[in-house]
Amino acid sequence: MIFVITRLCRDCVDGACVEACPIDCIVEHAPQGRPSELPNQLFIDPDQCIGCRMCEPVCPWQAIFEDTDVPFAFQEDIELNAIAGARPAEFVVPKARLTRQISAEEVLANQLKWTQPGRPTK
Amino acid sequence: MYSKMLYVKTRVTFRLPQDLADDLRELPNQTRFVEAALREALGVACPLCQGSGRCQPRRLTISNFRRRALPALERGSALELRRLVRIGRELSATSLELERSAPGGVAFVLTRGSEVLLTGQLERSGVAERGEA
Repeated sequence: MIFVITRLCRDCVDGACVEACPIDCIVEHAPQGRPSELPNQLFIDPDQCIGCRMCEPVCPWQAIFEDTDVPFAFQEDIELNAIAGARPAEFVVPKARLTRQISAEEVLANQLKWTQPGRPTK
Repeated sequence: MYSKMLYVKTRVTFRLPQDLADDLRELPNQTRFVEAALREALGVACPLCQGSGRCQPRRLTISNFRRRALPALERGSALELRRLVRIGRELSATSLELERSAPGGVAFVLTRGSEVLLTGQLERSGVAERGEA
């Protein structure tokens, strides 16, 4: 495991990282024949990530961290990303879907949403 | 019950020195061994399936930037790396070795097993190929 996409990506799911990743290791959960039980976010397949750092700076939500630098509040997301490596058949590389420009205020509000007391846990 | 393979293959008899014959008889699958040896000697075995007619899915292993202490890529070199990885997957390559090369560049060797497919350098402006096997 090298880089991890945290819950800051949830329901935002910008595709800039998908565009930037040279080895197509950023994936979404799309199991066949059933809806996904995982949160609506992107994941990094830890078995494939080579740590080139191309994804980290392009994420407008600042949701991508090196595994050694994942904030305490997002530690559970490391295991969530590991699922992509354990069950690769259920994951696909999504089509890039670049969204609108994200403002600094929106990034901060998203960070507060996941880190302050009373935050969503799932 | 006879194997179907007996009907699609031709029986060949040949003479061998005693020691080779003894060794051959100890092999668990003599036909497969002799067939592989002949194909290799004649150079007609497909490099992807080794003459089996069926390609196994292979995973392309790519060097880890952290372990190799490789320099950060610029956008242009990252795009070239992406093309290189896709070429590697199309060619059923097994390994893409990346190494730091002066100045600030990244050298690559794309291989399939022991066969070198492509070598070159990822430069800031793109990829510069040095040779192709």
